[in-house]
Amino acid sequence: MIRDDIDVAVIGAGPGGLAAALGAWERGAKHVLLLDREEEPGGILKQCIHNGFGLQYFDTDLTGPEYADRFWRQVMATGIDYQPRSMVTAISADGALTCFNASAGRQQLKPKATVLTNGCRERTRGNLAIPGARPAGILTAGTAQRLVNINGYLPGRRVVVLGSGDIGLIMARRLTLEGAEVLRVAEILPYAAGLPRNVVQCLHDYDIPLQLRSTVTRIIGSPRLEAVEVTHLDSGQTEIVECDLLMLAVGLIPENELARSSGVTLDPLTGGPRVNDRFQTSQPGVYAAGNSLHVSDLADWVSLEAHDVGKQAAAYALGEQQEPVAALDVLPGDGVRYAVPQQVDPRGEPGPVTFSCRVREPMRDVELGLWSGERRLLRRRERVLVPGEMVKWTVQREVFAQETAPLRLTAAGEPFCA
Amino acid sequence: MADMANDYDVLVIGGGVVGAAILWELAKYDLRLALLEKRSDVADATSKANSGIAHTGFDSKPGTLESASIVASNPRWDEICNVLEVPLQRCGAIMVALSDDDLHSLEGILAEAHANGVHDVRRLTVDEVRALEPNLNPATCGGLLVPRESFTSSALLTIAYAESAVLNGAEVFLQHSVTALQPVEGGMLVTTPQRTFRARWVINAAGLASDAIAALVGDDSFAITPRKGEFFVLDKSVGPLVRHIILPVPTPISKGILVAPTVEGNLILGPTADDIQDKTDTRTTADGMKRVAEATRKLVPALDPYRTTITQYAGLRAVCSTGHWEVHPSERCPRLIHAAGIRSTGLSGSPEIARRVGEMLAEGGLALRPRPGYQPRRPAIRLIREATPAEAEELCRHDPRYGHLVCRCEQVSEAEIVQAIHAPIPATTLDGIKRRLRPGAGRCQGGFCGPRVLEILARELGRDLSGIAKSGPGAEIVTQRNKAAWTSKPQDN
Repeated sequence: MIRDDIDVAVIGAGPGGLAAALGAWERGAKHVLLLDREEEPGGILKQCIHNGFGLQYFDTDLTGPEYADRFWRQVMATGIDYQPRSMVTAISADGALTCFNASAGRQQLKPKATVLTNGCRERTRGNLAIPGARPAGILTAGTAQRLVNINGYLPGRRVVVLGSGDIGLIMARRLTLEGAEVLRVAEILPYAAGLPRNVVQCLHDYDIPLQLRSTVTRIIGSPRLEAVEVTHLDSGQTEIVECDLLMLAVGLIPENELARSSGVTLDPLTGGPRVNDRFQTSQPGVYAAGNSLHVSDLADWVSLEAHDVGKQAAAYALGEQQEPVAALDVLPGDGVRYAVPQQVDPRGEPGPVTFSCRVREPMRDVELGLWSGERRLLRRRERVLVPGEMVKWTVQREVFAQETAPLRLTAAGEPFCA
Repeated sequence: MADMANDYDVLVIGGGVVGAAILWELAKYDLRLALLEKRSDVADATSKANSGIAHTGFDSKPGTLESASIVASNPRWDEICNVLEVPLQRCGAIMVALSDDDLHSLEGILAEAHANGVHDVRRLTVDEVRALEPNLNPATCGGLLVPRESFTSSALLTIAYAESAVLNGAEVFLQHSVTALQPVEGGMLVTTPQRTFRARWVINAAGLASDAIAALVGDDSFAITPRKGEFFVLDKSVGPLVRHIILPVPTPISKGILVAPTVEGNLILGPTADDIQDKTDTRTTADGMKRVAEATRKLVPALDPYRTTITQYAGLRAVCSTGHWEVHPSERCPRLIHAAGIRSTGLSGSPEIARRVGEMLAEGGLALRPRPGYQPRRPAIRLIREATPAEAEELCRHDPRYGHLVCRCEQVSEAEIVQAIHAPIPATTLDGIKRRLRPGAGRCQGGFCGPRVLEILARELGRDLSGIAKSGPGAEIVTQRNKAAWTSKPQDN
């Protein structure tokens, strides 16, 4: 039996899904179904007990659970249908969802629109192909964070962090506060991957060394980790560092399995689906937002984006969304790693379009450019930009309404090591 | 003191594929059986870390016990995998010639295959190879098709063998390391730190340690050295690149590094073949991985192992100093039967090795009478990912925990994990669960499901979280409670 009474199904109840469901509800969708695989809403926010959430969305400094709670209270005040312990395993080409639920079993749902807000996953030791033993004591930072903050256990006492992604930085501080010794953070790049504020607040403030241009080249010890070999890229020198936990913060990848199963086109640069300026994927009725689309550095960005995407999905479900008139590709140009959305409708409904992009390397005195072919349509100056901080650029549609050549985002500035 | 109440007809040392197969074979008879395994699980060493290929024996040395065993075993896989409910993929293999020299070698290999009694091996033209495998190196100039070369899971097969035996009355003792063997009147005493067992016959299927077991009775007729094989596991997204097991033409130095589609839809690449000293050294190496990547890209240029790998592993083959299998009673102690030195085709030959060991026991005077009420079928855990929609609905109705998916990547439910923990050979570690059901073997490598599986293990086994390990004692995932000194609650460690 296929349920077909749903206007908008939202997959995942993290910072993206909660906001998307609210957006869909506010836009007038009657039946919004919020599906989440966990027992409690909030997604990864539940284990992010540090502060720094809500500055953009609520203009207040909140912890992750507090941030989730603000959304949850809003959701509870609506008629949004929340279904926990539900994992969507596939989306068919015609938009039908297969979902497993601990009480309802296997369900088939046919919503009018679906929003993918199912987040991202962490790159692993296996992805890096680090040679050596395969002992206990190697965890991704997010997994360590769950063990420490949800389960209440320490996964190690002498810790080396590989990679300087934000969760790794946060967890370096967290483990220090729990009495573990965080020996160093090794980063292969010449600059930190995470947010500058996290480098300061999590490493500098706790005297944890950040060792740039270095990486872990061997895992030693069995059955438990005893040491890692750290290699300095420039000198080629190696060093054995005794530790019982190697924590990996080497990047996040959008969870794109669902998108893949539905056959939507993916962007190899972001790992997520390609979307137009309504955040619709290549499959009509399937929308994507947040980390499942492109990995953000702030939960606030995820929520802001997803709130709007929820509205778009509702408009589609209600049959109130205008058909796209034209389509211009949006490409990352010089100095830019990727751009989202990957397509815009220059003659779409009036209103601004917000582009998200990241620079390729840290730079100062930056000039961002929006181009169509060889013509620059707009520019914007920034004092400093680093790859760890997503650039948001809101542009009025009139700026490119007459263009026919693909749009390009560029960034030029003086490179430096952050 | 020895507990003489525990008296066995046959005691098998070693819970790898060979030892488990012997236990399974003997369990068909009315015998009192036990298996001792020193690790926390069966299939925890060589039998978990190999290519998983059930060979036809086409390229083994004609006239050897190895060749005879593989050739005799191969036709039995459909039946065995059916009753033991183990996946089997009759995908076939293609040996790929990339040069005139290779083409020339194929002739000899074809003749050898026929000499081994593998008569369905045949030459393929370039066009035939390309039609079967469009992603091979453009330099491909011919090939050999081995239709019955098959892929299974040696870990799942080993577990199934052992569980089938347990369902028919055999006992399996994990974490029992044999420290002494003593011939006594009409049998042997087998000592472990926990207790001493008495058995009429003892089978040495201790793999890498089989020379050490032989030495316990003063038998130094063979020595085992480890030969390391390193593998890449690639993401399912590149699984469709090949459909057959892709083999290079072997050189005098090496049988070669292959590309194989796994039963789960991944690809594995490997193995290397490096003789080493340390029998515990299952470390992967930068050099080994590089050689695997280069060799397999020569076969399938579209492979990009470093960018598409989800994990890597290394296993150790037991290379025997005598150059051949040692499957016979020990000359020093006729009640100890070796099933040793089985270098790399233990899985492929295991049914026949087991049958021959049974024969030896019968010749030695052990009466092999059919076990009354023998149950040939070993029911596997029903997997939600393999269920049709109607079956999935039925499973969820029967046990709602089937609807609680714990692992996203491989789609494993709580119901399956709980069953594995309470199975005839219980899974008590994260690796044990992973080996049986695959949470943690997928794309995220347990990043999401790891803590959840940990919680289920702790709950089902009635242990604290800190008592659950990745692989066995000493490999616990978490060490202690947070802020241990601050809480007033009594601590578990």
